[in-house]
Amino acid sequence: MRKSIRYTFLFLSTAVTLTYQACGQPQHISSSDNSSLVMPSATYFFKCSPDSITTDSPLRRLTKKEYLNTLADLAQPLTKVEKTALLQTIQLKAQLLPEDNAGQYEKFDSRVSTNHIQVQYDIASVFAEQVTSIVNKSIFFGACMSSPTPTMACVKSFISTFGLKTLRRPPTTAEVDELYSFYLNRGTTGLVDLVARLLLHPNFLYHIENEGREFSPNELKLTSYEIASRLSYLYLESMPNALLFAAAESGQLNTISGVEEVINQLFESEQIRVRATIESYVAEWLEFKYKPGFANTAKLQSLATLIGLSNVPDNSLRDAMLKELQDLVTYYVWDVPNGNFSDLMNSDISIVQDDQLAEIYGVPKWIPGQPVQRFPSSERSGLFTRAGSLYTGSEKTSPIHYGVSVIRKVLCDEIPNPSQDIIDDAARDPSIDYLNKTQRDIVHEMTSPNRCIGCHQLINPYGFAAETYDSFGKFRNSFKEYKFDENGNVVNQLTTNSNTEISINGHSMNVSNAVEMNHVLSKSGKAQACFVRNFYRFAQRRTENITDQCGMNRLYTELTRTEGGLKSMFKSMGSDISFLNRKVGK
Amino acid sequence: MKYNSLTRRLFLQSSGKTLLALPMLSSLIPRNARAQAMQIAPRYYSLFLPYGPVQDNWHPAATGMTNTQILAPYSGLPAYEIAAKNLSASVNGPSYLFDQKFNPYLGKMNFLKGLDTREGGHHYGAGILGNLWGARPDEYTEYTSMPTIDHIMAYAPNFYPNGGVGYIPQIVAGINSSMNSGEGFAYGFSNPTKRTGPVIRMDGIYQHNPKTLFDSIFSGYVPKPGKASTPIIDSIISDFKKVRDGRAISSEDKLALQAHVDLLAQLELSLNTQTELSCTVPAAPISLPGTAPWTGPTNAKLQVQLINDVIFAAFRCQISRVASFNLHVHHYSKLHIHESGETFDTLKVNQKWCSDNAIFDIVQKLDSFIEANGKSILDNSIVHYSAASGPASHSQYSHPCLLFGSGNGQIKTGQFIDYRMQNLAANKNLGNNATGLLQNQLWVTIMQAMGLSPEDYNMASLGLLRSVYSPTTTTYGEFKPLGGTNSDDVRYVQPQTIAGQKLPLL
Repeated sequence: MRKSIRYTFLFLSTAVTLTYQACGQPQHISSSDNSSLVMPSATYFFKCSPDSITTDSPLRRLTKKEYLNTLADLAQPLTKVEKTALLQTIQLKAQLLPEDNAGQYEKFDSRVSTNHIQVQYDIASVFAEQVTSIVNKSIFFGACMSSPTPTMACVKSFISTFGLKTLRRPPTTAEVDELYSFYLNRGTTGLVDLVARLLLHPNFLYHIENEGREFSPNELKLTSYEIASRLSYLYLESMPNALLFAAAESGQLNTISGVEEVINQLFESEQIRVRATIESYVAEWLEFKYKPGFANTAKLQSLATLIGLSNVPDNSLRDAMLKELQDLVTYYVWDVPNGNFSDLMNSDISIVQDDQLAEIYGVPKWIPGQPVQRFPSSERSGLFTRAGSLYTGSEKTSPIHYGVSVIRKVLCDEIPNPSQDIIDDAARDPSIDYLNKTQRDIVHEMTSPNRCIGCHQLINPYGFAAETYDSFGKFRNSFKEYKFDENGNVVNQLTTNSNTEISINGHSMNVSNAVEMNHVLSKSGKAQACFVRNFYRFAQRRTENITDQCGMNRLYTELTRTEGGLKSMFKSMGSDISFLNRKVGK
Repeated sequence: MKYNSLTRRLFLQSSGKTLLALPMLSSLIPRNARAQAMQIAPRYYSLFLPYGPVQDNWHPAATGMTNTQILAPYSGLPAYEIAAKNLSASVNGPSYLFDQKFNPYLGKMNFLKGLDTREGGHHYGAGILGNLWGARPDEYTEYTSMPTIDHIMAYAPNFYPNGGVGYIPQIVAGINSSMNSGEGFAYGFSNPTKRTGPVIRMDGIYQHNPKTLFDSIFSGYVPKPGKASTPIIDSIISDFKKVRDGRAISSEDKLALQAHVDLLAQLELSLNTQTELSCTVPAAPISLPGTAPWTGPTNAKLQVQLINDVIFAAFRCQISRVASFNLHVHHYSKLHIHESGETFDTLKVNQKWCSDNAIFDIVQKLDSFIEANGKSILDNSIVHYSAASGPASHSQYSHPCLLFGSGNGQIKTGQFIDYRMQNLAANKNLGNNATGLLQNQLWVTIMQAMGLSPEDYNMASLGLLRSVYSPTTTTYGEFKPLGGTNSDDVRYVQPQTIAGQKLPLL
């Protein structure tokens, strides 16, 4: 811990405590529990009770992304041209498939609408039609199916192999027989209809897990094929690959050590796809979908010019900023030996490959394979001091958004949204002298009324720490803040500051900027616990509850290992007992 | 797919003979659709209203636009909010031009407001289907002459099965056979089957006489009866029920699976709606006395509705999937209201006549016939009604657009959508001239709904030199983002990157 950080006990007055409760703070930690920032053990956050190890797992369907990835994998046997044509057609139809956004993570969304049914039907039809129209049918259906009148054995063989891929388990003999009868009864369209039917089967569209052994009332040990499917959709966001199907068939997935071995193999042999999945997770965790674009205003253009940007900021800059956040996470999982969570929160390296973003950072663009760049000392520390976390899309910084983001995404505390009338009133407040006050002072003044301060005394300090940066996320040494008129002319220059007092785990402490704040957060354990919670939700496709404490306890222990904790945590999720069993709801 | 490079005459002559051999027309339905139940290939019908600015008479009232959507951030734009509302029946109908007789079709309609084009716009109607150059070839020399979307669809690879043999790729009809320079509507390649050659106005295939149009399509056509295949949905429902009633499924999960079964049953119901698949050759239209353009309320109405009859029959028989109908008589007759000395009130009368007798007529007809997928032809089509001018003569902003049908589920319907930026006060203050989205997005939306991919319609694929105003390879047509130093206003710049994207909310 840096010397400049001063620790003090947090004095919680009755009034403040009441305000915290009104703001929905879920956790109050007595100041006597910890007198200094020593990383708490797992049980501090997750109290594991061996009495209950699994939580009800509601039925989930494939997300849109999983569904399309799975179709792409099924189309793998086709030639490149055939596959491209098929997937383009599917993509066009999939535009009508609703987006998954019913909860924090896409995988929470289990809603089904008429659009789902119609599009799934259309896509199944197109897929079936196109694969049965290819020139060399043997590459998809097997050699014997090229015959105009394939034998029963041939058709059943195809049903078994394609059934395995679509049902994600071997079809039973009865199912093969029934599907063969169906094929015969459909006459000339038998093969097309057979493929379409399997693409509309509940086992294809949903994560059906109902065949495991019941080892206690309503608790199932998942079958090896169900585990293969879970692992696949966790790490590849698609159907099981050959490795997973083989592991399922051989029984390797029936033991935890076998599962761990397969996960290790996946992280090596399927690194590109697992990386993509971790990138998806980061995008959902940090809610990229709500990240703004850049306003086309004279004010923002002027700021861009003042800080020396060569180009007008546009979507490509936004994309580069967000991509950097994803890259930083995967970099510490794969590209650095033993990367850990502390690296993620304290990293001063730059792996930026975008010209504009490098310009903002004032560092040369990184060329993969070359040594990484480093930021000047004390300028940046980890994910939350990167432009993707800091930029606002306008000429003004936004301490409130940044503060809320830290509270929700880094600490997993809950902050209610203000009502629209509160926002409107604050935005219209005529008493605030916008041109002669810093953004920090404006926010302070705007949020000082009693109905605001309860939450904002929690939010604002985190936001003020980031005033070290301007609204592009560029470090501002001199804390200079510009004020513009509507035409983009500078009408005032002010000096802001980023000194603030934050509280964590029952302690309060002064920090002078976001770098120091992130150092504190990285040692709090609370940020680690929050990271675990988020990935646990992503993996389990649901929010956690009290009975998930054991699983999260284990992940926390893995994450806070000195070396390689980050990758270890991601891997451990797939072999956790809570992931390998399923509790059926009533 | 390659088409034989036949002349039109040879093509039409041979089509009748080919049609004789068509097996109950089931082969006219794309193979993927034939696979299960009968999926129907969507059709496109475009109608052009030439009679001047529509002012505020076209769209419904802008009250209750509560369905807002924040669009993904664009280059150079802040959050962009658009607004919409679901259409609901009212005593007087949705608007002045579309009165209460349209109430039964509200669920199948989309009013679109705030679609902009670059200068020239719908001048003379040429820009409605995408060829802005055609609006004023003498003035807009920097534009590229583009085949219009009806032509691009009609000759896109795989748009028709069987190499297009036996089909009429596109129908182009108009009130008048003679047009002045710049009064074109439909444009296409001079060698359409190869998609090569200079882009020309489709005067050569314009049909203004209903009887001639009918003969060119149905001469020698003898359909045969057929039988629909049975949908496979019942088997899928059975698969779902087995899981639902199997082991280890919670009561909550059973409900979820049952909900899926219910939705499948709805789909099955629509697919099972048995309809005649064969096409009875319709009676030939009567011959109108005299020559085009037919004038007077009786003959003009008859001409329009007989042409609609022929297009309806061609759609019903699935001989053609594309028709464009130009109600244009002469540019200066109605468009320049300030020059013609007419008042807007008289203009409204003409516009209302078109609503009542042309668009309402085709909508009624297309909705009267249920196809093999349980939907009407209207449901399976996209009917596109647009006008020469929006709020003012030749304005490039907010071109009126009314769509009917979903193209067999390809777009959402039942909405009034205003694409003007709602959340940017400076823009909103421009009123009807406020920046909205690019009309290019409408063209792309329609072509995608009709099954085309970007390779089928972007300028590079079409072998046309791309001008400086169309920098992406995924879009179609000319556009120059409004704004910058435009003398009109300082306005928001529409991002070029979205020009190739489907319109939101549809």
